[in-house]
Amino acid sequence: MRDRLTMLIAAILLAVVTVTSYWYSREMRRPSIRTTPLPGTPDFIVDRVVLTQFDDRGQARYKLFAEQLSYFNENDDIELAKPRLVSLQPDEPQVQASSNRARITNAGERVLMQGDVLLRRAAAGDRPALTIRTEQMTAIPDEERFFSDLPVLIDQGGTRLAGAAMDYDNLKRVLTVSGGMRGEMPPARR
Amino acid sequence: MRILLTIALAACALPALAERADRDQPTIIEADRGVFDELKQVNVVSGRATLSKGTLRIAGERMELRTAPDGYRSATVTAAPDSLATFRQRRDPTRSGIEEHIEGAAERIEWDEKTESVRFLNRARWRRLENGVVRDEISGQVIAYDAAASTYRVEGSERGDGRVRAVIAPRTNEAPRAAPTPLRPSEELPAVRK
Repeated sequence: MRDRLTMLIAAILLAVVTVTSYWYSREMRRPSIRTTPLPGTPDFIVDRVVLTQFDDRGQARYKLFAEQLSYFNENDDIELAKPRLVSLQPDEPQVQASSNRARITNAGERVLMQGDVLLRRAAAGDRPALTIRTEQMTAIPDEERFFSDLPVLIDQGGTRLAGAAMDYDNLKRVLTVSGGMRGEMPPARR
Repeated sequence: MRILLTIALAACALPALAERADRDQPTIIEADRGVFDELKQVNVVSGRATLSKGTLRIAGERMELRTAPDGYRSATVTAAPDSLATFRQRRDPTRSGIEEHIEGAAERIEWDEKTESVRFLNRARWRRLENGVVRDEISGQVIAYDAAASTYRVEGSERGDGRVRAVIAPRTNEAPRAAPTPLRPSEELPAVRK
Protein backbone atom coordinates (compact mmCIF):
# COMPACT_ATOMS: atom_id res chain seq x y z
CA MET A 1 0.00 0.00 0.00
CA ARG A 2 2.78 2.34 1.03
CA ASP A 3 4.79 1.54 -2.11
CA ARG A 4 1.79 2.28 -4.33
CA LEU A 5 1.33 5.67 -2.65
CA THR A 6 5.01 6.57 -3.27
CA MET A 7 4.66 5.50 -6.90
CA LEU A 8 1.50 7.59 -7.29
CA ILE A 9 3.17 10.72 -5.86
CA ALA A 10 6.15 10.22 -8.17
CA ALA A 11 3.84 9.80 -11.19
CA ILE A 12 1.89 12.99 -10.27
CA LEU A 13 5.14 14.99 -9.83
CA LEU A 14 6.44 13.73 -13.17
CA ALA A 15 3.13 14.66 -14.86
CA VAL A 16 3.26 18.19 -13.35
CA VAL A 17 6.84 18.69 -14.57
CA THR A 18 5.95 17.41 -18.06
CA VAL A 19 2.87 19.62 -18.37
CA THR A 20 4.72 22.71 -17.06
CA SER A 21 7.67 22.30 -19.44
CA TYR A 22 5.28 21.72 -22.37
CA TRP A 23 3.35 24.87 -21.41
CA TYR A 24 6.59 26.89 -21.22
CA SER A 25 7.81 25.64 -24.61
CA ARG A 26 4.44 26.54 -26.15
CA GLU A 27 4.52 29.92 -24.50
CA MET A 28 8.03 30.65 -25.82
CA ARG A 29 7.12 29.75 -29.41
CA ARG A 30 3.87 31.70 -29.50
CA PRO A 31 4.29 35.21 -30.98
CA SER A 32 4.00 38.00 -28.42
CA ILE A 33 0.49 39.29 -28.25
CA ARG A 34 1.67 42.68 -26.98
CA THR A 35 0.88 45.43 -29.49
CA THR A 36 4.03 47.21 -30.68
CA PRO A 37 3.62 50.99 -30.94
CA LEU A 38 3.62 52.69 -34.32
CA PRO A 39 6.98 54.17 -35.27
CA GLY A 40 7.45 57.59 -33.69
CA THR A 41 4.99 57.02 -30.89
CA PRO A 42 6.09 56.41 -27.31
CA ASP A 43 6.09 53.03 -25.63
CA PHE A 44 5.03 54.54 -22.38
CA ILE A 45 4.17 57.93 -20.95
CA VAL A 46 4.67 58.99 -17.35
CA ASP A 47 3.10 62.13 -15.90
CA ARG A 48 4.70 64.29 -13.20
CA VAL A 49 7.89 62.28 -12.96
CA VAL A 50 11.03 62.67 -10.85
CA LEU A 51 14.18 60.83 -11.91
CA THR A 52 17.32 60.69 -9.81
CA GLN A 53 20.74 59.84 -11.18
CA PHE A 54 23.29 58.33 -8.82
CA ASP A 55 27.07 58.20 -9.04
CA ASP A 56 29.37 55.17 -8.50
CA ARG A 57 29.18 55.54 -4.73
CA GLY A 58 25.41 55.63 -4.77
CA GLN A 59 25.14 59.35 -4.08
CA ALA A 60 22.53 61.36 -5.96
CA ARG A 61 24.08 63.52 -8.72
CA TYR A 62 21.04 64.96 -10.48
CA LYS A 63 17.32 65.14 -9.97
CA LEU A 64 15.14 65.60 -13.04
CA PHE A 65 11.56 66.80 -12.73
CA ALA A 66 9.15 66.78 -15.69
CA GLU A 67 5.43 67.22 -16.24
CA GLN A 68 5.47 64.37 -18.72
CA LEU A 69 8.03 61.81 -19.82
CA SER A 70 7.60 59.76 -23.04
CA TYR A 71 9.87 56.82 -23.72
CA PHE A 72 10.55 55.57 -27.26
CA ASN A 73 11.75 51.97 -27.35
CA GLU A 74 12.72 52.09 -31.05
CA ASN A 75 15.70 54.39 -30.43
CA ASP A 76 15.88 54.58 -26.62
CA ASP A 77 14.99 58.31 -26.76
CA ILE A 78 13.19 60.17 -24.02
CA GLU A 79 11.01 63.21 -24.56
CA LEU A 80 10.22 65.55 -21.70
CA ALA A 81 7.62 68.26 -21.25
CA LYS A 82 8.57 71.16 -18.92
CA PRO A 83 11.75 69.49 -17.67
CA ARG A 84 13.82 70.93 -14.82
CA LEU A 85 17.21 69.50 -13.92
CA VAL A 86 18.85 70.23 -10.57
CA SER A 87 22.39 69.16 -9.71
CA LEU A 88 22.99 67.81 -6.20
CA GLN A 89 26.77 67.72 -5.98
CA PRO A 90 27.66 69.19 -2.59
CA ASP A 91 31.17 70.33 -3.59
CA GLU A 92 29.97 72.14 -6.74
CA PRO A 93 27.70 75.19 -7.05
CA GLN A 94 24.17 74.09 -7.86
CA VAL A 95 23.27 74.03 -11.57
CA GLN A 96 19.64 74.27 -12.69
CA ALA A 97 18.39 73.87 -16.25
CA SER A 98 14.82 74.18 -17.48
CA SER A 99 12.96 74.49 -20.79
CA ASN A 100 9.54 73.94 -22.33
CA ARG A 101 10.54 70.59 -23.79
CA ALA A 102 13.61 68.43 -24.18
CA ARG A 103 14.67 65.30 -26.04
CA ILE A 104 17.32 63.01 -24.60
CA THR A 105 19.08 61.00 -27.32
CA ASN A 106 21.99 58.57 -27.64
CA ALA A 107 21.21 56.88 -24.30
CA GLY A 108 21.46 60.15 -22.38
CA GLU A 109 24.62 61.38 -24.11
CA ARG A 110 22.92 64.41 -25.67
CA VAL A 111 20.03 66.57 -24.50
CA LEU A 112 18.31 69.04 -26.83
CA MET A 113 16.37 71.68 -24.91
CA GLN A 114 13.87 73.91 -26.70
CA GLY A 115 11.68 76.87 -25.80
CA ASP A 116 12.48 79.24 -22.92
CA VAL A 117 15.77 77.58 -22.06
CA LEU A 118 17.17 78.80 -18.76
CA LEU A 119 20.49 77.66 -17.36
CA ARG A 120 21.51 78.90 -13.94
CA ARG A 121 24.62 78.26 -11.88
CA ALA A 122 24.49 79.44 -8.29
CA ALA A 123 27.06 81.87 -6.87
CA ALA A 124 30.06 80.27 -5.20
CA GLY A 125 32.77 82.07 -3.26
CA ASP A 126 33.72 85.19 -5.21
CA ARG A 127 32.12 83.87 -8.41
CA PRO A 128 28.71 85.47 -8.96
CA ALA A 129 25.71 83.49 -10.20
CA LEU A 130 25.61 82.80 -13.94
CA THR A 131 22.36 82.84 -15.94
CA ILE A 132 22.07 81.87 -19.61
CA ARG A 133 18.84 82.32 -21.58
CA THR A 134 18.12 81.16 -25.13
CA GLU A 135 15.46 79.45 -27.26
CA GLN A 136 17.40 76.27 -27.97
CA MET A 137 20.36 74.58 -26.36
CA THR A 138 22.18 71.29 -26.69
CA ALA A 139 23.73 69.81 -23.56
CA ILE A 140 26.27 66.99 -23.28
CA PRO A 141 25.87 66.19 -19.57
CA ASP A 142 28.91 63.90 -19.18
CA GLU A 143 31.22 66.58 -20.61
CA GLU A 144 29.27 69.39 -18.89
CA ARG A 145 29.13 71.19 -22.24
CA PHE A 146 26.26 73.42 -23.35
CA PHE A 147 26.00 75.06 -26.75
CA SER A 148 23.48 77.01 -28.80
CA ASP A 149 23.25 78.30 -32.37
CA LEU A 150 20.51 80.76 -31.49
CA PRO A 151 20.88 84.17 -29.82
CA VAL A 152 21.82 83.98 -26.16
CA LEU A 153 21.61 86.36 -23.21
CA ILE A 154 24.14 85.80 -20.46
CA ASP A 155 24.11 87.53 -17.08
CA GLN A 156 26.83 87.25 -14.49
CA GLY A 157 27.22 89.57 -11.55
CA GLY A 158 25.67 92.57 -13.34
CA THR A 159 27.63 91.97 -16.54
CA ARG A 160 25.24 91.36 -19.42
CA LEU A 161 26.39 89.64 -22.57
CA ALA A 162 24.42 89.09 -25.77
CA GLY A 163 25.66 86.89 -28.58
CA ALA A 164 24.49 85.16 -31.74
CA ALA A 165 25.76 81.74 -30.61
CA MET A 166 27.54 80.23 -27.61
CA ASP A 167 29.50 77.29 -26.26
CA TYR A 168 30.00 76.85 -22.51
CA ASP A 169 32.34 74.31 -20.96
CA ASN A 170 31.53 73.96 -17.27
CA LEU A 171 34.61 71.81 -16.55
CA LYS A 172 37.10 74.29 -18.03
CA ARG A 173 34.77 77.18 -17.11
CA VAL A 174 35.25 78.75 -20.53
CA LEU A 175 32.43 80.55 -22.29
CA THR A 176 32.77 81.28 -26.02
CA VAL A 177 30.36 83.68 -27.70
CA SER A 178 30.49 83.95 -31.49
CA GLY A 179 28.72 85.48 -34.46
CA GLY A 180 28.83 89.00 -32.99
CA MET A 181 28.67 89.91 -29.33
CA ARG A 182 27.95 92.88 -27.08
CA GLY A 183 28.81 93.03 -23.41
CA GLU A 184 27.77 95.64 -20.88
CA MET A 185 29.55 95.91 -17.55
CA PRO A 186 28.47 98.21 -14.72
CA PRO A 187 31.00 100.81 -13.46
CA ALA A 188 33.17 99.64 -10.59
CA ARG A 189 31.87 100.72 -7.19
CA ARG A 190 33.83 103.56 -5.70
CA MET B 1 71.74 100.95 -28.51
CA ARG B 2 68.37 102.47 -28.24
CA ILE B 3 68.32 105.88 -26.79
CA LEU B 4 65.19 106.84 -25.04
CA LEU B 5 64.08 110.36 -24.91
CA THR B 6 61.78 111.22 -22.16
CA ILE B 7 59.70 114.29 -21.97
CA ALA B 8 57.55 114.95 -19.00
CA LEU B 9 54.98 117.57 -19.69
CA ALA B 10 53.47 119.28 -16.72
CA ALA B 11 49.77 119.53 -16.14
CA CYS B 12 49.72 123.20 -16.98
CA ALA B 13 51.11 122.46 -20.39
CA LEU B 14 48.44 119.92 -21.20
CA PRO B 15 45.25 120.43 -19.25
CA ALA B 16 43.86 117.03 -20.08
CA LEU B 17 41.38 115.94 -17.49
CA ALA B 18 39.37 112.89 -18.28
CA GLU B 19 35.66 113.37 -18.67
CA ARG B 20 34.46 112.94 -15.07
CA ALA B 21 31.04 111.70 -16.13
CA ASP B 22 32.68 108.78 -17.95
CA ARG B 23 33.63 107.22 -14.62
CA ASP B 24 30.07 106.32 -13.75
CA GLN B 25 29.23 104.97 -17.19
CA PRO B 26 29.01 101.27 -17.95
CA THR B 27 31.74 99.69 -20.04
CA ILE B 28 30.45 98.34 -23.34
CA ILE B 29 32.37 95.74 -25.33
CA GLU B 30 31.51 94.82 -28.90
CA ALA B 31 33.27 92.27 -31.12
CA ASP B 32 32.73 89.38 -33.49
CA ARG B 33 33.47 86.81 -30.80
CA GLY B 34 34.55 86.51 -27.19
CA VAL B 35 36.20 83.85 -25.04
CA PHE B 36 35.64 84.24 -21.30
CA ASP B 37 37.87 82.13 -19.10
CA GLU B 38 36.55 82.09 -15.55
CA LEU B 39 39.47 80.18 -14.02
CA LYS B 40 42.22 82.31 -15.56
CA GLN B 41 40.07 85.45 -15.14
CA VAL B 42 40.98 86.55 -18.67
CA ASN B 43 38.50 87.56 -21.32
CA VAL B 44 39.58 87.87 -24.93
CA VAL B 45 37.34 89.43 -27.55
CA SER B 46 38.39 89.60 -31.17
CA GLY B 47 37.23 90.74 -34.58
CA ARG B 48 36.66 94.50 -34.79
CA ALA B 49 36.74 94.85 -31.03
CA THR B 50 35.61 98.09 -29.42
CA LEU B 51 35.43 99.25 -25.84
CA SER B 52 33.40 102.29 -24.91
CA LYS B 53 32.70 103.96 -21.59
CA GLY B 54 30.86 107.25 -21.82
CA THR B 55 32.79 109.38 -24.29
CA LEU B 56 35.80 107.05 -24.21
CA ARG B 57 36.19 104.70 -27.13
CA ILE B 58 39.02 102.30 -27.94
CA ALA B 59 38.96 100.20 -31.11
CA GLY B 60 41.23 97.46 -32.40
CA GLU B 61 41.27 93.91 -33.66
CA ARG B 62 41.78 92.05 -30.40
CA MET B 63 41.16 92.98 -26.80
CA GLU B 64 42.21 91.34 -23.57
CA LEU B 65 40.05 92.31 -20.62
CA ARG B 66 40.80 91.70 -16.98
CA THR B 67 38.80 92.40 -13.86
CA ALA B 68 40.78 93.00 -10.68
CA PRO B 69 39.44 91.66 -7.36
CA ASP B 70 38.31 95.20 -6.48
CA GLY B 71 36.06 95.26 -9.57
CA TYR B 72 38.13 97.64 -11.70
CA ARG B 73 38.85 96.63 -15.26
CA SER B 74 41.81 96.95 -17.54
CA ALA B 75 42.12 96.28 -21.24
CA THR B 76 44.92 95.72 -23.72
CA VAL B 77 43.82 96.46 -27.27
CA THR B 78 45.95 95.37 -30.20
CA ALA B 79 45.59 96.30 -33.85
CA ALA B 80 45.44 94.06 -36.89
CA PRO B 81 48.74 93.80 -38.78
CA ASP B 82 49.61 97.02 -40.67
CA SER B 83 47.01 98.98 -38.79
CA LEU B 84 46.72 100.87 -35.51
CA ALA B 85 44.39 100.61 -32.58
CA THR B 86 42.60 103.90 -31.91
CA PHE B 87 41.54 105.86 -28.85
CA ARG B 88 39.22 108.85 -28.50
CA GLN B 89 37.81 110.63 -25.47
CA ARG B 90 36.17 113.96 -24.78
CA ARG B 91 37.72 116.06 -22.02
CA ASP B 92 35.88 117.87 -19.29
CA PRO B 93 35.10 121.34 -20.59
CA THR B 94 37.35 123.87 -18.84
CA ARG B 95 36.68 126.89 -21.04
CA SER B 96 33.23 127.75 -22.27
CA GLY B 97 32.57 127.21 -25.92
CA ILE B 98 35.56 124.88 -26.35
CA GLU B 99 35.06 121.18 -26.76
CA GLU B 100 38.25 119.24 -26.26
CA HIS B 101 38.94 115.79 -27.61
CA ILE B 102 41.92 113.51 -27.23
CA GLU B 103 42.75 111.14 -30.03
CA GLY B 104 45.44 108.50 -30.01
CA ALA B 105 46.65 105.57 -32.03
CA ALA B 106 49.26 102.86 -31.59
CA GLU B 107 49.87 99.20 -32.34
CA ARG B 108 48.86 98.51 -28.74
CA ILE B 109 46.78 100.54 -26.31
CA GLU B 110 46.63 99.72 -22.60
CA TRP B 111 43.78 101.17 -20.58
CA ASP B 112 43.31 101.05 -16.83
CA GLU B 113 39.94 101.96 -15.35
CA LYS B 114 41.15 102.50 -11.79
CA THR B 115 44.03 104.90 -12.47
CA GLU B 116 42.37 106.27 -15.64
CA SER B 117 45.70 105.89 -17.36
CA VAL B 118 46.26 105.04 -21.01
CA ARG B 119 49.50 103.82 -22.60
CA PHE B 120 50.10 103.89 -26.33
CA LEU B 121 52.81 101.48 -27.42
CA ASN B 122 54.69 101.21 -30.74
CA ARG B 123 54.17 103.78 -33.48
CA ALA B 124 52.31 105.84 -30.92
CA ARG B 125 50.50 109.01 -31.91
CA TRP B 126 48.52 111.35 -29.78
CA ARG B 127 46.76 114.64 -30.40
CA ARG B 128 44.49 117.11 -28.66
CA LEU B 129 41.74 118.85 -30.57
CA GLU B 130 39.77 121.94 -29.67
CA ASN B 131 36.49 122.20 -31.53
CA GLY B 132 37.87 119.80 -34.11
CA VAL B 133 41.15 121.72 -34.65
CA VAL B 134 44.40 119.95 -33.78
CA ARG B 135 46.19 121.96 -31.08
CA ASP B 136 48.84 119.56 -29.73
CA GLU B 137 50.38 116.61 -31.44
CA ILE B 138 52.89 114.09 -30.12
CA SER B 139 54.38 110.96 -31.65
CA GLY B 140 56.88 108.48 -30.28
CA GLN B 141 57.51 104.88 -29.37
CA VAL B 142 55.58 104.95 -26.10
CA ILE B 143 53.18 107.60 -24.86
CA ALA B 144 51.81 107.14 -21.37
CA TYR B 145 49.16 109.32 -19.81
CA ASP B 146 48.85 109.28 -16.06
CA ALA B 147 45.58 110.82 -14.95
CA ALA B 148 46.55 110.98 -11.28
CA ALA B 149 49.56 113.21 -12.00
CA SER B 150 47.96 114.72 -15.12
CA THR B 151 51.19 114.17 -17.01
CA TYR B 152 52.28 112.59 -20.22
CA ARG B 153 55.49 110.66 -20.57
CA VAL B 154 56.78 110.14 -24.06
CA GLU B 155 59.56 107.77 -24.99
CA GLY B 156 61.03 107.40 -28.41
CA SER B 157 63.75 105.46 -30.11
CA GLU B 158 66.43 107.16 -32.20
CA ARG B 159 65.36 105.43 -35.34
CA GLY B 160 62.62 106.33 -37.77
CA ASP B 161 59.08 106.90 -36.62
CA GLY B 162 59.93 106.25 -33.01
CA ARG B 163 61.61 109.64 -32.48
CA VAL B 164 59.67 111.90 -30.21
CA ARG B 165 58.05 114.76 -32.00
CA ALA B 166 55.83 117.16 -30.16
CA VAL B 167 53.95 120.20 -31.36
CA ILE B 168 52.28 122.10 -28.60
CA ALA B 169 50.09 125.10 -29.27
CA PRO B 170 50.42 128.20 -27.11
CA ARG B 171 47.87 128.41 -24.32
CA THR B 172 45.27 131.07 -24.79
CA ASN B 173 41.87 131.56 -23.35
CA GLU B 174 40.43 132.29 -26.71
CA ALA B 175 38.55 129.75 -28.65
CA PRO B 176 40.58 128.54 -31.60
CA ARG B 177 39.75 130.17 -34.82
CA ALA B 178 38.12 128.10 -37.44
CA ALA B 179 40.43 125.89 -39.40
CA PRO B 180 42.83 128.05 -41.38
CA THR B 181 42.12 128.48 -45.06
CA PRO B 182 43.95 125.63 -46.70
CA LEU B 183 46.69 126.50 -49.14
CA ARG B 184 45.84 125.98 -52.74
CA PRO B 185 48.00 126.12 -55.79
CA SER B 186 47.76 129.39 -57.60
CA GLU B 187 45.64 129.12 -60.63
CA GLU B 188 47.71 131.56 -62.65
CA LEU B 189 51.29 132.58 -62.53
CA PRO B 190 51.95 136.27 -61.94
CA ALA B 191 52.97 138.03 -65.12
CA VAL B 192 56.66 137.78 -65.58
CA ARG B 193 58.28 141.09 -66.28
CA LYS B 194 60.25 141.20 -69.36
